[in-house]
Amino acid sequence: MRIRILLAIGAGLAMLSIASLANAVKPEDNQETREKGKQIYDRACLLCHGANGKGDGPAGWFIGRYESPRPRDFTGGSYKFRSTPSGELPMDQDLFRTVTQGIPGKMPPYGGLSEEERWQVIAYIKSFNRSFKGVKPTALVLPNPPGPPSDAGIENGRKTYIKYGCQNCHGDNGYGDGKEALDGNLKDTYGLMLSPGDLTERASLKNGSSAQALYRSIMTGLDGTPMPSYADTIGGNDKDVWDLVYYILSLSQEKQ
Amino acid sequence: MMVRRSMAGRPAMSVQALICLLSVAVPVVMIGLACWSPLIAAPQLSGESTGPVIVGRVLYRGTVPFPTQIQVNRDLDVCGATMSMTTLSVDAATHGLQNAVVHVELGAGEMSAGIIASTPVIVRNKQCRFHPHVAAALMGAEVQIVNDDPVMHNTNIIVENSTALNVAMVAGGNLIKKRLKKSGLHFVKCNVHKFMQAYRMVFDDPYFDQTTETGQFSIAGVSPGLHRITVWHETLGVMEKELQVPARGTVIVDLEYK
Repeated sequence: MRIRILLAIGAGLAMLSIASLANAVKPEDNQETREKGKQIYDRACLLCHGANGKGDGPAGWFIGRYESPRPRDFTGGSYKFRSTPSGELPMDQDLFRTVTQGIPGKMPPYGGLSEEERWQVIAYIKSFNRSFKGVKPTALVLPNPPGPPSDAGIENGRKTYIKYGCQNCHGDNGYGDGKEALDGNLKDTYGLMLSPGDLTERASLKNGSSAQALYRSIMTGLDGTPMPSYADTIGGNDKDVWDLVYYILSLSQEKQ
Repeated sequence: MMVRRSMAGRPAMSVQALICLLSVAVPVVMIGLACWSPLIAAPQLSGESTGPVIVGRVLYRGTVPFPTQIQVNRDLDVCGATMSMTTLSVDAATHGLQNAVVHVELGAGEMSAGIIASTPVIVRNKQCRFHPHVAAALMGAEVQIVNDDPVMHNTNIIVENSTALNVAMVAGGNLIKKRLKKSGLHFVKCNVHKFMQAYRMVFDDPYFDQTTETGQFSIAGVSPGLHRITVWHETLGVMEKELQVPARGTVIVDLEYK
């Protein structure tokens, strides 16, 4: 028990220090920073996201031409991976996380760039969309996960999975084979066909597969897709959400 | 000198002094009455009543298709086995088209007055339909989303291929209140029930109206001059016309989809 507590405190401190360090080297968002960001963008991002950030780079032409997801359109498209409410722009930290971690099966992680370089490229990416000017997005409160899940909690998570309609898209057992998916009814905001995540595969959890990342996805939704935000409609029902999170994680554990 | 003359029964004031007094007292009394008397109307200063009013009808004389019957694939006990979809509602007697949205664009060089929206926009999920099906609203208005059904819906609002809002509407869940932050056509859909669709047209200025069952509309407060008037309908599309608006009076205009 003591070891678990120490590990939890250690993990928390590690996350905190990474976040603090990332912020510590964050350069001011000015012309010089954006110009440096452009140099990185042109060699690392342009191929998919295009010279003007419209998601129409030479490789982007082939990616998601007939099926979602396409490379992100930075000029006005929706951002899937956020800690902000649905319809809002992401926090800088959200962009930093995506650039650093990448998107499994879709975008490589760019942790090889220095933190300063990642911030520079983020400043440049933001310059494609005028909406970022003068707007200060506000993140939802995302609490730390409670203690290890109990069997009763996971059982409640299964009930919550049905209550929240997750099976409509993700299927009764989380394989991504829900009725709406099989009927071909799921499309992104461009009208392109889309497959829901296979919850039995950790790599399918594109916004991260930690308990906190799953909680974030459920509460914020994934804009641009049919996955809705649950924060407003179930606000204050944290226990059910955490039980749901641990139930979903148990689906991939069983498979492993 | 004047006091003495007054006591002697002569006029207390000279004519000039009386005029002077009246010139001050009469306006004071008039203003006082105007301020508190319910019998005297306060001057109408708003552009709505002093400016021109554009009234008219949106017409459609073409063939009106029968409602489409869609087979419901889930939650039949709530939604019913079939869903009747009417996308073109025309009054047979007048050819008036319902649920068209009419907007008078600002004149050249005009800026929006930045009016704050006070009327909320409702998106009610009821019996597997969005109510109302069409509505027009001012930017910044509060949108209230509610689910009356005992099944889950989601309200996914898309503007120009981007998510403006996508919220789960769990059965018995909270009323959701948000602000409309984008202007333009808001396409509202439910991903759980694919036949659930609705529209909200959002404008930066207040010069719009939605047609009634007989296709009528009325828009007040537009500045005099040349304006473009646009009509939007979910299946008939967008129609435009130029309109000369006088300084005062009523402009009558019929707009017909051909």
